[in-house]
Amino acid sequence: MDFDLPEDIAQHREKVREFALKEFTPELARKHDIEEKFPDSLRKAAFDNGIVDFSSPWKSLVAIEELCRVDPGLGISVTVPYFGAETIMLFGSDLLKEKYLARVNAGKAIMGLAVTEPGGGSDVAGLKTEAKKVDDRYILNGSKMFITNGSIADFFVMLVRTSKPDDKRHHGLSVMVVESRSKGFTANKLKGKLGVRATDTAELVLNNVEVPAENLVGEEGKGFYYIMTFFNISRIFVAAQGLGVAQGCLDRTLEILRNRKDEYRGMEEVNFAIAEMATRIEASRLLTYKAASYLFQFKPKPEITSMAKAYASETAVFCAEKALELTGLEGITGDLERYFRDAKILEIWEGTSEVEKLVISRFLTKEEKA
Amino acid sequence: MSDDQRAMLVSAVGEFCAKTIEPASALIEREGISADLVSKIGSQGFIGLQFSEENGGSNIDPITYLLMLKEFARFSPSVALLIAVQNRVSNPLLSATEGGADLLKAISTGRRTAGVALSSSSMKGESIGSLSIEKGSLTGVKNYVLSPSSDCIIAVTDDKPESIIVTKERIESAEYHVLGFRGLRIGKMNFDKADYLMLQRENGIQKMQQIWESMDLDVAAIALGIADASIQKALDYSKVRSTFGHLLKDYQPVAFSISSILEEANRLTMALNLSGDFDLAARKGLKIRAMDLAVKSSRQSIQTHGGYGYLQDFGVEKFYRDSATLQAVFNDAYSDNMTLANQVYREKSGYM
Repeated sequence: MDFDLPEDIAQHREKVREFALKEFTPELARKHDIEEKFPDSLRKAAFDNGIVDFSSPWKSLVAIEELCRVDPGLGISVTVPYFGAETIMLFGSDLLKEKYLARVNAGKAIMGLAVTEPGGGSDVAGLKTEAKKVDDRYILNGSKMFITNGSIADFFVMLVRTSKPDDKRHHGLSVMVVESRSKGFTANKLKGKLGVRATDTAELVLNNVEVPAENLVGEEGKGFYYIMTFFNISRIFVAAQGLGVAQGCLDRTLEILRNRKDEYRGMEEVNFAIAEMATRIEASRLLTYKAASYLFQFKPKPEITSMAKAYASETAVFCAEKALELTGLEGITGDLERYFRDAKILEIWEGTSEVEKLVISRFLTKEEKA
Repeated sequence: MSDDQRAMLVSAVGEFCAKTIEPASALIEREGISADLVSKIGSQGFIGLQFSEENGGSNIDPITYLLMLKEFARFSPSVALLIAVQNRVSNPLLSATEGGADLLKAISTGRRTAGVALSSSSMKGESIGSLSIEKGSLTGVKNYVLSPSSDCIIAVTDDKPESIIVTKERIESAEYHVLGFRGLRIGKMNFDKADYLMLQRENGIQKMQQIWESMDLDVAAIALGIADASIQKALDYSKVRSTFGHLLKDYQPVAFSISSILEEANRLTMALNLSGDFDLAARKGLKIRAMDLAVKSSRQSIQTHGGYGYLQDFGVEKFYRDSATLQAVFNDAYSDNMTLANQVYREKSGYM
């Protein structure tokens, strides 16, 4: 068993780190955080420099980790324009791949995934947005909430209800590609988030939005399965975000402590805290890479994925809180305060920690019964 | 003071906050506590709570003061900390200084406020500042000043003999984008031949350490206000928000977490009520536990609210930011745990 990354992945990690350290200056990160502004020029620069390379999932994983390590808000922003792409990649028609995915892969379009609804949260199957089939098109009515890239994306992979649920609520759901320029489509940017303020988040309102039938992804009624499959992929990348945030907290804490009095740096309480941060980060990394290894070999293990996502997210929050405790005034007035605010969302988006624990326990119980 | 009288005063603070502070809470976070708001708080007699009557205060008993502080923190931790600083920092220093009474009277009525330069025992001197007295005026820098837009600033000079001074005028500062207590803010301040009033000629660092220690229960009260308010919001939300066909409160992870935090908050508030008889170890213990609980409670409250908790509009995220800031400012270098250990062992311990 070799724990080292293959040479090409390790080299890509170095390349990404160099890019992030050069481009993600603290001043720029602070500016986008304060102004709640998406860094589109950075997105383009990352694309032009081959930083985000979706032809290799391992390269994507280490890129997300390294970018978030230098700044979570900017890091997530430059990697999230592809959010939801796997759904089309795995289940979409050639037409959809050509019409939509090709533009995203060429860096010419931004996409998003629209699942959550107001008051919906973790209860994906309870969604209410309706898509009624009329001739060769669907008519969509409803709304979506907390949608990443909501006010900047060119199109969304959207989960909607195409038929009334039978005895199982997750039946009757379908996925379709919805263009943001469609008539009746409105996006209201959500302002005043605690963190990840460089990323764009919006509420979407659909008022008789017409979507061509050819924009249906896969088969009608199988949307829930497609989205759950997607989450089993994306959660590994969220774990990588957590890993990056946690590592970034440790980096900056060590940097600040170098300038502290010797007696403080020598305190065992301080050193034990650092050791605990580092240990949890290493454990998160092993778990994340293990989950990724299963997935990237097309042998996904959702319970391992959920373990990685929940643990890495909680590690990010733990490290951010610990970093502020250790760095005090410098922490709350410097870059670390941004990490603290950014970290918390990881325990919420794409499956709360509670949902991940349910997934883990259900898989274990299922195996026991079997 | 009887329990009824105490409850009445705390309730008066609650009513004032609901009417005056709650509607302005978003503005306080965005633009800081306004002079108008300070004036309103002062006009109700809520600033000079521990000031003597001749200095315009109400000289209220310590427990009632702490419970009132906690109530303020439930609505705005920034306002609570502003009041605590005036009572624990400005009051003892100005009341012991000739010429300080007028300033104290102005502070108690909300016509003026005092900010304070923060320090940290773990940081090297130059990281904190380089303030000195040269030719009868103040020159240098203080890197971390709490409430820098105040009318006057209390600070310790960084050269010997470490004097405590208060500036006679407002000093320009560069404010940080600070994590919490955004109603007060923290700034870097340049002193350029600033006029001052001497509060203590020497041993200023030692004196300020004593003053910060005297704030242990104030910090505990503010932390408990944060814990109480944030978990109450989670409790209320869990009663009305449904998921998977059930209210959130019906799920064990939600109900058990909220109940446990609320019970702990109540228990620590009971301790705060009895804190008049506490020795140093008990005060430190209460402060440490209250600060930890504030972080835990506000973090849980965001989690219960989900994505909505992450938005400023829901009024939960500020408690998470403020709780971590409180811990960062008032639990420097694990000094509380060290003091606690020394008290328990009754000799020097836990210093390695």
